Amino acid sequence: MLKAASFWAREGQITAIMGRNGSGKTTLLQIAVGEVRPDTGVVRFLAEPYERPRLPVLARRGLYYLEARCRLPGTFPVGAQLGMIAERFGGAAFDRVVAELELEELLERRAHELSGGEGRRAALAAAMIREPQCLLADEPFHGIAPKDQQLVGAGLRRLAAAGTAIVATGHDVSALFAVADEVIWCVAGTTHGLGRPDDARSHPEFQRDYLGWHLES
Amino acid sequence: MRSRWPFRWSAMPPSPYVRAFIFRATIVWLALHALSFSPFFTLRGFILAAVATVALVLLDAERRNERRFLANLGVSRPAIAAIVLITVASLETIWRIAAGGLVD
Repeated sequence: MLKAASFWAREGQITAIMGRNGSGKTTLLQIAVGEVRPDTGVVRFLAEPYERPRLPVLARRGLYYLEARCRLPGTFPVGAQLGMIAERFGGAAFDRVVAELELEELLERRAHELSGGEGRRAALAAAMIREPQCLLADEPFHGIAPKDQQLVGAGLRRLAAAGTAIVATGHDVSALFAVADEVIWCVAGTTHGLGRPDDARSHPEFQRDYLGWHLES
Repeated sequence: MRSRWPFRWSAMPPSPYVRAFIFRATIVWLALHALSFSPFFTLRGFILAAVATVALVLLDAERRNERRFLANLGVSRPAIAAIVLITVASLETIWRIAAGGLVD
């Protein structure tokens, strides 16, 4: 249960929210996009407060939400779905994004025909083509091969370099630490800013209570 | 100049999805007619058919993972519901005309 939690996203930076299962990482993102209503609190996006945020409204202003294990719909081929985004928001980056995420041979397939890693890359491609002001990605590295994690990580860094504020959650310590500029630790119903990944790695309570045996000596 | 018109084109789905929702609404409406053995020539029948069609199409969009994809494009559930309602109203009108006028 979240008691006094908050997170922030800074332009051009990747913020990693980490914490044990059930600590509220996903809930925080769901509150930000209006899928869960908190008892108290406010969402601020582009300096405007939203007491009852709704994803379609925030999306029109530049937010993009990648839920955990997110996949594109299987209604149309991947290329057609990405093309819809390019057409609505500007398609200058379409070919570059497809090449960066190695989706050339997947464009004619539908999302349910893709493997886990392929589907994750296709979902991230949608966000990259959109070029949002802010991207909320819930567990973008979960359950995919290291090569796909590398491609996803490179895609996130590419977006951040273009000015997108990114928040990513997960337990994939290596992958998240490799791309994050800042770490927020979600524990005991609250959140704590730990600074850069190196600072988080050397935080005694974070080492003991979260990293545990994952800590590299 | 900020528009006072509440309708936003940016809130509507891309045209391929509009066609898909019209198609699904038509199929559901036909199925409801067939299963109910009723021509729906009452206001109450029309309202029930419209509500059922909207609910089923929205549930189907949720199942197909379309709702969040479209939300990321700025498309809301009311926009999808509007497409379905317009489809149902049009089908009802055509059906009534074909059946020989309004029958209460």
